[in-house]
Amino acid sequence: MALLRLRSGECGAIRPGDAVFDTRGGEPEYPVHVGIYVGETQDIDGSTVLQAQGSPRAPGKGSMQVAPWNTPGNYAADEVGQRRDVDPVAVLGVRMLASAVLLEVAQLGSYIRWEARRRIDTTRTMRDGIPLFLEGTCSQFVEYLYEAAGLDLVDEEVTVCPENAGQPRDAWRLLPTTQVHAFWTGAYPLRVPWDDKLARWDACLFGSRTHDR
Amino acid sequence: MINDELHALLAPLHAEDFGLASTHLSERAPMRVCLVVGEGSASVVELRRLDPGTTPADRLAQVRDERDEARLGEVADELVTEIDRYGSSLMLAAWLGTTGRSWVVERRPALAIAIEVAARLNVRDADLVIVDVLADHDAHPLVKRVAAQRARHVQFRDHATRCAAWYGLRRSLDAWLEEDASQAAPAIPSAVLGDADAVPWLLDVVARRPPEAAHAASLGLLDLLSGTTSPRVAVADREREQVVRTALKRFSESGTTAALAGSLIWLSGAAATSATLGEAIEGIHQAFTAGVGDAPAGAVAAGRLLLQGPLSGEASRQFAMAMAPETDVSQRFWALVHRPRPQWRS
Repeated sequence: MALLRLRSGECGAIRPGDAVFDTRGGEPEYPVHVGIYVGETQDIDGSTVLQAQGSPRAPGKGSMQVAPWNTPGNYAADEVGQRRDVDPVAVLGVRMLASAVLLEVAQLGSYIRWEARRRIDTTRTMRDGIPLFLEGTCSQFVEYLYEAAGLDLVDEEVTVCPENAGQPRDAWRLLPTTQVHAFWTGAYPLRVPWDDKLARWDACLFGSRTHDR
Repeated sequence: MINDELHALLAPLHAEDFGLASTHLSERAPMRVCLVVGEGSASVVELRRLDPGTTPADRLAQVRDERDEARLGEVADELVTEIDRYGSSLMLAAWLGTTGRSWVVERRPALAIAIEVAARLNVRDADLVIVDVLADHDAHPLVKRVAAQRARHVQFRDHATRCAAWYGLRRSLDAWLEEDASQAAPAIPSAVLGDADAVPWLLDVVARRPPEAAHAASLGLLDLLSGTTSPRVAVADREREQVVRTALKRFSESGTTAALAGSLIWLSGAAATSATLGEAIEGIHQAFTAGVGDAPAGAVAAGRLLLQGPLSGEASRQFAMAMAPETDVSQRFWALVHRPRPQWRS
């Protein structure tokens, strides 16, 4: 499945670069969190410890890091988003980019830190032309990596959260629940008119679930 | 027309840097300043009136004796937000050129805040402070770590200043590599400041240092050779050939991590010349079909660089030959390298 529902008892293989979602509402305003799985391919269930990299869930919650999800005090791996429509090597590219970005994490303060506003500096690039990701939410960071790997998850020009209306591109919010819906339907990039369900867990699991394997 | 407040702000700046021809305060928008830059071009800098205590200089003065890293980090984050909100980046630039340089001499840990914020917001005039810090053998370790990592993200006024930063950086990197490669890693890609002169040093790290450091050096070389540094750097073919051979040799050795495997192969595609194209393609092919860790993804990135670069015709022919016996491998590779890349918007 393109969305592996660990919390619902499903099990399967996870691959480096897959998106991992915590849906347990640790922060009321930020009910869903997302990171990138940076371990190796393995068969997993809801109790497997998974190394994941991500921007913090909420403001003031530290800086980007790699952490063992499904351990006490850490995030829970409840859902795994998988681009089953493409070659696994394309998804592996997400992990490779995530590793390259780690070298830019600050020695002081929390850059790359949580900020509602995404800040990507296209005038300063790294590696073979990837712009610097300076700030943003957990979902914006995941979207940035997938976009850089040529695997855009959500077309934010089409699927526009109403709170983005009239805001500059930098200030657009992208919700993890909208990305969950993309994996749920398996249509990439997600290009649907805005629906309020796209902003809520688990209302975002609507429409037909893809059976891509 | 310049009032005292504005004059105080502009005084530390170098008029010749801006090509400042005139300033003008409008009666109706008393804090809007027009800086006429160069001939026929102008940029408008909006200065909002700041509350006492909220200028970058005020905020930094409040923590001038602070030594707690967590607190310094908090202030760095807050200052980024405030400078964004008030549009006061010019004030930070002015502070860096004056008080900032004296803080280097005084070895204040809080100087790390100013360097970090300047790098995040791309504020000019951080370069001289960074040169001073990197040249100071006894600089505060936190300040040195921040300066060394962020040096690659600030603008340097000229080649001589970049070189001065590179000489200081190299001494720090060599010392850190002897102690703890993980401490050195975030700063290693800053070796790009040395332009082509840094290639032999980076290659040595790729060849014989621990995987974490070698990975960082591979990415630094990738930055240099793929032409994304500013200014762009010309690296001689002979050195590029050494890069390809060193990267492929390290790739073939045991003990390579997932990340290092990917960056080495990616690098081989960025560095290949006509003399090493065959070796690079052989390595890329091997990495794509049987590579460990991130090597298959590195092979795709390397293939894309080669197929879009000056050797594209010959690279295309050699890739086709290398992969011809394996139809499905060939189809997968071509599909992956031809995936469209994003058009980034800020």
